[in-house]
Amino acid sequence: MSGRLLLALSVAGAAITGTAAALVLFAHGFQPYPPAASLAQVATDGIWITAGLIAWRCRPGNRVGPLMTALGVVDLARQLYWDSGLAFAVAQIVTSFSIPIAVHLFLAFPSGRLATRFDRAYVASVYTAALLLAPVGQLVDDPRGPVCPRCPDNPLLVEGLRAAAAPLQTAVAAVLATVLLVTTGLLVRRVRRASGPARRTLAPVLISSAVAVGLLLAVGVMSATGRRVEESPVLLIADAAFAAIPVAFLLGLLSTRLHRSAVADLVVELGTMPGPAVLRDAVARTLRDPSLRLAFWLPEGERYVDADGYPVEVRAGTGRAVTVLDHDDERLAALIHDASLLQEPGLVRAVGAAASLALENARLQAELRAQLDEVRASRTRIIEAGYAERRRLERDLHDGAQQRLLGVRLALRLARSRLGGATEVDELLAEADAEVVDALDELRALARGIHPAILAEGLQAALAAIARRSPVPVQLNVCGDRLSGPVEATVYFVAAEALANIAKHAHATYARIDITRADGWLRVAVSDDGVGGADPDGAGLRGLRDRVEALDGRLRVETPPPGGTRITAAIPCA
Amino acid sequence: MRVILADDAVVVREGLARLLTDQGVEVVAQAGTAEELVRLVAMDPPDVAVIDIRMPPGYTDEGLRAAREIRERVPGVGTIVLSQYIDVEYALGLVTGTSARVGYLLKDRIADVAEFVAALHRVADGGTVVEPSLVEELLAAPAARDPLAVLTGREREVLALIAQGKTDHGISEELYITRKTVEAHVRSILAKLELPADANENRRVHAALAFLRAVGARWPSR
Repeated sequence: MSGRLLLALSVAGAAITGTAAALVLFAHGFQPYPPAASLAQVATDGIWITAGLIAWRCRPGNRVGPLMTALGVVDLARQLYWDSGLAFAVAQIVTSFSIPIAVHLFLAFPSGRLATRFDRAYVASVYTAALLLAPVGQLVDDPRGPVCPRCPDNPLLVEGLRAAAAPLQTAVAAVLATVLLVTTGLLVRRVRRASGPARRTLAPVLISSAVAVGLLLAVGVMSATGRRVEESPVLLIADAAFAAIPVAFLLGLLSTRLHRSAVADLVVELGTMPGPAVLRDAVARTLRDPSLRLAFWLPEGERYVDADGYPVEVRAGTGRAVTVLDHDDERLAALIHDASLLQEPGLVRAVGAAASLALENARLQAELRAQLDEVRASRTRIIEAGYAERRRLERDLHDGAQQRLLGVRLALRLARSRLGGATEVDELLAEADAEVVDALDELRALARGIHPAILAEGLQAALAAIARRSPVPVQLNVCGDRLSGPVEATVYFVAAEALANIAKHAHATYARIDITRADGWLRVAVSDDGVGGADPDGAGLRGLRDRVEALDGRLRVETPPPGGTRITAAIPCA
Repeated sequence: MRVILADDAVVVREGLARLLTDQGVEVVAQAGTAEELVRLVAMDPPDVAVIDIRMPPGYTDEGLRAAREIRERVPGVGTIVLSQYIDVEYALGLVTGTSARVGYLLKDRIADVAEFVAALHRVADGGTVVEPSLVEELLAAPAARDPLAVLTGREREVLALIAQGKTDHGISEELYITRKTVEAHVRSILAKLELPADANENRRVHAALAFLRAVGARWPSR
């Protein structure tokens, strides 16, 4: 809001107040109260009206402004004692509505809406009570009396009902006390349930109100004990406290305007096109809601995901509310935020608008991650299926062909022993046995290539076995943890292929296998002291790379400074 | 010599049974599963049970566990476990908590029937038999911290032969040294490995087990 508009509204408020003050002072009617007290109350009403107009202008969609203005106007009616008895009576009735308006205002602050059905029903009943009791009161209430000897005649007064005046006043007092208690109770409950930001907004209003009500009660006590309260300074202080309440209301609303300037900062911050996580933090900061969650809409999957692509359930809960952010009629994302932010729908929308481009960008990133997760999951399933299939194949070979060939060897051996010694047939049988032994060796190598059965005993035993078969001495440093089948098989094949390469090409005198596990990664390093020069794009190493990367791992082939070759595979393992 | 054979492959079981019968070994029963084996052994204890490691239902180390169970329940029965491949853990698992009447051989060894029958006899007589290629490879394997480093080269050779189940006589023939020298080496080995030097048979078993444990110690247990 511009300074000029603020000035204009202030002038308008002051003009209304000044007019009212003039009417109080110079009206050729009467003066029920001392001028000082009346002027103080008029000034208070003026502040209500001015603050209300400013609030109205700042937040046109918010009822807080109109309610504040109405409260000032209605209360002002009390100060204006018209010559006409009818006007006086009507002013009395109008003034009675300051109670329901005040209740409405307190319960609706700062959103301008009544949050619960109970709140709405309660406020409606207070309005109804005023509507019923105020006119009825004018039927029985004779303003003239010791308090106001110069008050005009009440034309609505029904003489026959005079007797009802005292009980009615008692009833009105009871209703007022009830309203005060219930309203206080509702506000206390609201403060207790409110989150941090909501409490900060409510605090100034509630504190100034508590002070004012406290002072008013003191005035009531003084009045009941027979003192003349009209001239007491306590009344003036109470008026001052009441004057502070509209200021507190306005400050509460202005503080939400401060949030809006944070939107400008957000726009600048989002110029750098941050990732989804940074975007969430920036939005949370702007809305002053650290618990805020950002869910990105995936149009294809028709679901929400978080910054990492994981599905998110988007629904309002206790103290939580959901605001869906759109851009060009397309759903972009949803904010799951503190329910108190609902009181500032404009702010949330402004943040959404400011963030829309970055949101679109972040949404695409989140979508990409979600798709990547799906691809990873399906790849893992394929790998595990392949692993299971290999194990089955190896078992079939072991339990079928290998056992049969061993049976053949036993039969050959039996035949030779039955033949009893060195004959030509025995030689033939011995040759046949040698063939079977070769076939068994080949079959065993084949089975091992498909799936090393010794892996059932763990990586340690399996690697010890290949280390023993290696012509180059191998030192093993293996952590003893059991890992998933595919990971163990992959590590085994990395070590086996690397050792085979070392035996064939490296001219090494020494090799070592180091397996460590840290930070969710399994690292296997096979190094030698040979001539180096391994070709990372050779068929063997490429096959290894595929195996390792299929598990989301990385394979590196390097020639460290002193010489030799080092093959390192890092595989994630939870 | 009475033996029970346990192998889920009928062709191997039957072949071995016929082969052993031909060699004068009495095959009193055959089992296709570890469960059946334990039951048969308990009913009519043989001298030795020959057990394939991989058997139903899991095809992992059922035979090994059956061997352990037999040793606990029917202590006089020797067990020879057959494996498709060498595994230090298997070998250690077999000798853990025992001092004798155990054997660990590659399954292919059964085709070498004379050697196999000799192994059966050694186990039946209270000795141990360890797959020779396992012993060789363990000795050949380089190790950063070798618990057998205290031994001389010749002592290590002698110990390896003991572990394979060779007698003093066999060792003296193998290494072309006198039996007295063999005995001296054995005494030195036991002293260096801080093993109790009691009765002769036990000592040999101790040495074999010490060897397995020592080399096994290079492979930290999982």
